[in-house]
Amino acid sequence: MTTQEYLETILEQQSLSDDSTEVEALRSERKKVDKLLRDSFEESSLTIRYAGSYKKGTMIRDNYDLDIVCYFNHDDESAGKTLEEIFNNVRESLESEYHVVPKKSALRLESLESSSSQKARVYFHIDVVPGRFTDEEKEDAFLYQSSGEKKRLKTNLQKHIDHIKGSGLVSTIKLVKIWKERNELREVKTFALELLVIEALKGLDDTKGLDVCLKEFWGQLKDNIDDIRIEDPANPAGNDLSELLDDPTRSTLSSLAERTLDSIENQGWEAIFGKAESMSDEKKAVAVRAAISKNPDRPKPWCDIA
Amino acid sequence: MRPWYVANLEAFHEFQRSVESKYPTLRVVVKNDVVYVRGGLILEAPDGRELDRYSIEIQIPDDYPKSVPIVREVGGRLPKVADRHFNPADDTACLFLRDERYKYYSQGSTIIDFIEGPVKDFFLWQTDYDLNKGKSSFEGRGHGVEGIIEFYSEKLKTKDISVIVKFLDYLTAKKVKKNWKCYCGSGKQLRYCHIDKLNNLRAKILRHDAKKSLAQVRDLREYIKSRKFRAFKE
Repeated sequence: MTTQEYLETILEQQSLSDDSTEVEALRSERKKVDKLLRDSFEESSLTIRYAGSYKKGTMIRDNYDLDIVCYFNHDDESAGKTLEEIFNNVRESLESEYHVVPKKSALRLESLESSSSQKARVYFHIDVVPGRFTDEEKEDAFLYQSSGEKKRLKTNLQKHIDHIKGSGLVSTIKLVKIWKERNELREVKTFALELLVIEALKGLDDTKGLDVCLKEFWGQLKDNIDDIRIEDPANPAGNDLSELLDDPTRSTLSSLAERTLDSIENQGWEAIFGKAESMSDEKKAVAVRAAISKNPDRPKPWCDIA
Repeated sequence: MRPWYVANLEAFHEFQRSVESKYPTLRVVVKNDVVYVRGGLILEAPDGRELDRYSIEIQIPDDYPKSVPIVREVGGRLPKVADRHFNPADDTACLFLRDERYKYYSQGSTIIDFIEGPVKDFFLWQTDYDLNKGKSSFEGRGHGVEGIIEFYSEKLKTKDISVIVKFLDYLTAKKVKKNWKCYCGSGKQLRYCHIDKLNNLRAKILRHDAKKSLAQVRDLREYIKSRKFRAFKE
């Protein structure tokens, strides 16, 4: 298997088809949120759209979220006069069904059932981003920002989607996201990482070879991280992304990229993305039982409760 | 006291090198003067294929390698409940009964021994639990005092709590005299009965760990007594 074939197999394993259980679950959750919002804002002009990796085509099985934007018409004040009021009213309407954690511009939802300590949490988050269109065109929108100096941010969902899809680097971006997940690179926002890939790989695209793109990307992080600037394609002048790539984050990225390149050199690509062959649950269960029976004196987990 | 990684920078660099060269998906970070190993823990089948992956954080104690490192699952995948062997007070993973640390994190153990042994075993248990839909094919210890009694019952081959309490009394004593009556209740002096077994475990189980277990078993005994007394009165 060539490196290109290997990386394509990794992508294949991580892809979520339209009829997969995961995507079905996303759709069904979207319907629930959609209905909840429309019932709450019956009198309002509401536009609800998918956003995030689902729309950009960069969703990976290892970690995917459901991102939904919920925008009101530019002249509609029924959901609130100010952006802050819209943010809070949308939050209130969602709280009847979900545990809502307000983020900077988004409302993160956890189902009330799954947030109890007795049950596993859902594997994906739902982020709802409330806002208001800037004009009748229904393209640009203003979002409320609950933290930071600026309380209003101009954005454009379609521009974000076009920037990623039009980069020719969707597969590389997906592999970089898998790399992020495998390394638990929590310091770096996916949005920033996507922009970083596109910025660092100007002049390259997936067709030049996924291994070529990845090595070039990590090489840029290793050697030139301080020179790379990212900007919001929907609002280059008004949305300062410097805090997404502060010095500690740049340093983490650079050293991890260096380790990654060393690992490829010394151990091969499998050290980065694992074996290309995946296992069914049945085979996994057999392998786990075999591993268990190999060492009968393995520690028995305990729990220190009074 | 200066933390170990400051006091012995060379040892820290060796620690970092050993972890990061063996596990490409784990990183050593220092935050607020505490050393952590963070990242993705990959469980592999014997043929190298990936079985499962967990987001973990291992907090290295200041007196490393003396105390057992603290392990957390930080991906939000596992419910932090007693049935999954997480301590409810702080959501930390309970890899093994503290009295058994001599088997799984003995003196001279390295961070690699720790990850390869109890940490991977713990998460393998979790994978097995999920694959078997809520029932692991290898049992964990009972929760709290139940697990302590289980362990000492296996060691002493008795379920008699009075014997276990007596044994723990001797285990936690500063000195043991050979002419003491044996904990087993035979009426013989220790020297003619189970002195070897006692000395063997005194050399392995840390006194302060045994003291905690003794307190928990005593509490249970008092509880049982009070219930019996109440039942008798009623």
